Amino acid sequence: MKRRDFLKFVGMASSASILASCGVEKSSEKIIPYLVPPDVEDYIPGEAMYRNTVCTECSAGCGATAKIIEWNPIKLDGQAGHPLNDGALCMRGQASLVRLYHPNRLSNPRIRKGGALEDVSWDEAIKFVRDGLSKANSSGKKSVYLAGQTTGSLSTLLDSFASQSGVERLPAYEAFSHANLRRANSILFNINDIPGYKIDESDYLLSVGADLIETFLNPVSNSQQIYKARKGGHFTWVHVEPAISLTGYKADERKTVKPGGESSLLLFLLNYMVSNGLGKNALSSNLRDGLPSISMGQAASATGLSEDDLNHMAQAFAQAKHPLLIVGGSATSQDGGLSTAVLAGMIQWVSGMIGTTVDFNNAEGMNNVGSLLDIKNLADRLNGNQIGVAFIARTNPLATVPASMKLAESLGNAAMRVVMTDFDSELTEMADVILPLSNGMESWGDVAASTAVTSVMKPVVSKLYDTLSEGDILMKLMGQAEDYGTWLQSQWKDVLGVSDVDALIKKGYADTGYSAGNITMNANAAQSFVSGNKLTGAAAAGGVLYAVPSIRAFDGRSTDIPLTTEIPDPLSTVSYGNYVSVSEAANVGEVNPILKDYPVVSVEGKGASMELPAFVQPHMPENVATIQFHQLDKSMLTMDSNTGELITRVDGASVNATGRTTKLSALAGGFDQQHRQLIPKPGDHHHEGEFEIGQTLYPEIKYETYRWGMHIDLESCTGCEACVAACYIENNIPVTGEDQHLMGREMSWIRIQPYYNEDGTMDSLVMMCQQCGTAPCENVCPVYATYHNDEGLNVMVYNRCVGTRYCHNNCPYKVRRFNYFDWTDEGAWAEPMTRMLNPDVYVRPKGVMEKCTFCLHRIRSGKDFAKDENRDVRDGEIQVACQQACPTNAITFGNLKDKNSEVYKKSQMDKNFKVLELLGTNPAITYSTKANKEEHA
Amino acid sequence: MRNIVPILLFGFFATMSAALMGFGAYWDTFEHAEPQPIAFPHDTHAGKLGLECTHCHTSVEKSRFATVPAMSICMSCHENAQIDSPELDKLKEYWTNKEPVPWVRIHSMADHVYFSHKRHIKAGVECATCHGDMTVVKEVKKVRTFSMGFCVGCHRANNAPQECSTCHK
Repeated sequence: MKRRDFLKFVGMASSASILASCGVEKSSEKIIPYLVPPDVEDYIPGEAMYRNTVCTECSAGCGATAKIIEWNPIKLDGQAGHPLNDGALCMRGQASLVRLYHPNRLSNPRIRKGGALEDVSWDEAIKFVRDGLSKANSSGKKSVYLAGQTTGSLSTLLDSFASQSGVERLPAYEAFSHANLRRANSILFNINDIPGYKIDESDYLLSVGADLIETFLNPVSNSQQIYKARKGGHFTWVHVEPAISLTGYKADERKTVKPGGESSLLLFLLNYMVSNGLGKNALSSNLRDGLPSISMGQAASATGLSEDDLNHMAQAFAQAKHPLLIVGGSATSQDGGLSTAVLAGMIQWVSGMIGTTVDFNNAEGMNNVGSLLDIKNLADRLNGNQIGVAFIARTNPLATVPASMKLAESLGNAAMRVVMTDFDSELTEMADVILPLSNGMESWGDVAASTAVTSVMKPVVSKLYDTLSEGDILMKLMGQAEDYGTWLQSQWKDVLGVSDVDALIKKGYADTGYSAGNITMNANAAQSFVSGNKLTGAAAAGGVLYAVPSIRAFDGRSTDIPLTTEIPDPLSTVSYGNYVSVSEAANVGEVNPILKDYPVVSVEGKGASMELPAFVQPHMPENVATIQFHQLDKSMLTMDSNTGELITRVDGASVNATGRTTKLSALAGGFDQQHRQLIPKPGDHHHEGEFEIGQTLYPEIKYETYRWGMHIDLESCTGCEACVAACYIENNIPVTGEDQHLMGREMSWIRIQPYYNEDGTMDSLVMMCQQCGTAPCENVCPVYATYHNDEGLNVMVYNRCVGTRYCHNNCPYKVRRFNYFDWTDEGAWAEPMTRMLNPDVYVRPKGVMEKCTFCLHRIRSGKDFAKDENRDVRDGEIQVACQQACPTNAITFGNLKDKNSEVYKKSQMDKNFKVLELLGTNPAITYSTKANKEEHA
Repeated sequence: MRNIVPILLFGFFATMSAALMGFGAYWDTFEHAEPQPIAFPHDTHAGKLGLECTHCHTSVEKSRFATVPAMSICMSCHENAQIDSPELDKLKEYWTNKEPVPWVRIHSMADHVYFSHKRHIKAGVECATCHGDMTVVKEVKKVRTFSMGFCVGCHRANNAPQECSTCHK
């Protein structure tokens, strides 16, 4: 090489290097100061503030507390001390935070012009609606307003809007309107409502059909009361149902009744009480004589229960000091449901529950809720071209009414359709005006949680979009200059008698006090019902399909929230996809849970058919199948033509194997314990003599001040998945979707694993990182990314992890999750969902393993707080997210080094066990079950 | 001779690249930043006028974040004081337009690091330990790398917690 060439090369390479190094990004991150610091008392930059609001995911009206960091709500929890749901929210309530930030939320008003929807301003939209209203009025058509359950001040405002604008307010629409129950209560007690059930004050609870843990009225409150009753001792809960539900498994005894046999059971119980002169209130002689008799044998054959069971139930019921009968769900939403409800009401009267455990002073407040009869009536009027403007707010009847009603077709006949909602649906597709509603957290409002309690709310976040609350829309439609919040505050002063609005907001609810008066049963009405109606029907012949409201989606409304689908069903562990749960006897074909291969079946009934994968539900009675209500073909739904109750029992349904299989994202790899004694039963003594726990090659770890530990009481756990949702939101866990779930790549840090036992019971095992004392995962990490710290935590240092996945391979609990993708890039937090990310928790990038670390950030902040006061952390001061969410206090967290801590005391109980203890992993989580308690009793 | 040429070439490029990368890293860490929208003189405020750091960085004792001052704090003095400087004219313009000053961030922590100003101030760490003596510099520049080595070095020297999860989130 010539010298000249050499220099050329050098020069070229040098300039290339210099040019390349010029590409370094400039530091251009900005710090934007406040113009004026916010005048908020408890605001500290970067620290959390807590504000009370109301959960608006359903109409139960639970008090909620929003955790707000830098003005963004990042977590919703139950409001501590709220009379309805003291400190807990259900899984859907926890997940409802996503609703606020979801990118698909409707963001501005739209009106239909020339067939296409067009974005307009609010003024334009309001004018459009008002013009439509006056046009309808002048053409002699009636305008109607159909809404979801509406209570409190909004109901008052709606009435004045209706009378001012000549709009007819229709009875509210709820798919699960409990029409039969309310009709029965109006017949017997002259109250068109559902009473409050004081489970915590009862000593014997018989629930028939009512899915207390899943969706019946207020599952959080139900669970809490059941927990309280159990803690009080002397409480037995028997659940009678024709299919399989979480509620059944969580009751002390689960009894299977023949479909339609519920009324025979109740008639038998009533007869037993009346003929033996039991109970507090006697029936009139006419009524007593008019009551059809039913022998033990007849009852046994009609219900499918054994005579022993019947006898036992009747005696226990009669002997209980404070019995409680709750009938609902599948028992009343079937043909003959009204008779069942009336019989239940009569039992409640005779046994003296009315006024004690059945409380009409603290009722649900559903008297302005209608039924399908009202929808039918509306459809007829629509078909007769009598309807002008149809307002539909906060409800989507198109998704829930029987297809035979052809409501969508009828709705096309309205002169104008005004839809108020927050997400697109089949309803917005046919709307002429779409008025986007603000989220509950963005709005002023109040919700009558019951007739005795009104929960109140004030905006806790500034509006994300150009939306209005329903109250504000009504004010605008009425031409009021005042906003809804101002009006509401004056309303609170006048109606609730509140002088200090700020104090009310801080408290979160107002005791409105209500007396339903002295309630007695209308014997004449009861008698005429008994003589004029068939009280018991024959049990359904052939196959029966039940459409059950899902704990994850209720009537389908919560499917707007992706998280509710990501979290699996507690019984089947199915996350995504429609499926039907069938009995083993249905013989639908081979299931391979590891490969997630499930047989495809054809479900036929009421002239419709669906093809979908089948989940073989252990213990499901023969000829019975269940499907989640929102996944049912609505052609299979019918209506009780007398009461307007939605009939969710599909008679004559057949389930036939097609011979094909399909993938179904059921997350569990199996449903039995494979003799591993994960949850030991009485008599399981696998530890003794077989091995010695605590042998290790590693040096003993010394814990200085803290060893964080947990106790999980599986007897209290209801498997409701609230903890799972709380964990997802607290720890920025991504929603990954069906494709990933089918590959076994779900990301949940905590899961509820159902194990079915041969004796007809089911154990829900709450599984998360066990924070092992001698953790198998730690030894195999080549980069010290996971290690044991001096507080007993199995810490993950995320930025150190290189993704070998050895730890995951070595974990016997399968609780570690690997990030196959950068979920931020994959759209798991599409704008503006980044605003709901918890800034205290790192968002793990691609190639990194993640898992539960007992909410390390909460421990850190608890210690930080304690250090400010120069002391150690007090017991109970740090609550982890799953513990906080649990309605039944099944999870206890704390310092095992502190001998006075609750968790230490609970960890020392005889009935405890540790999962896979024989592996010598020395977990920091101890469990206890009911089974073991009996052993030691 | 011919055989030495590639070796020489490689050696030269390697040295050049290393030097450039080193210089680039230094430049990027300590020198290179966009100019601030207003040339705020720390030496005047913290030095000449002797204002406490907390006068403007109001949250440093109670929060993880020291925070830059709200503009109303600037204006509490500058409403009246020294109105004839071109830099102060800019401030006034921002204030009149009700626009916040878009300060350029100089010090930042990685997303996976938990750092609390409060904890360090309460432990008696001087601001200057990490930020340098602000009473003598006109413009804010990084004087420390804020690398893990820097943090751990100080934690070791002062017997502060060295457990990973203290800082890694």
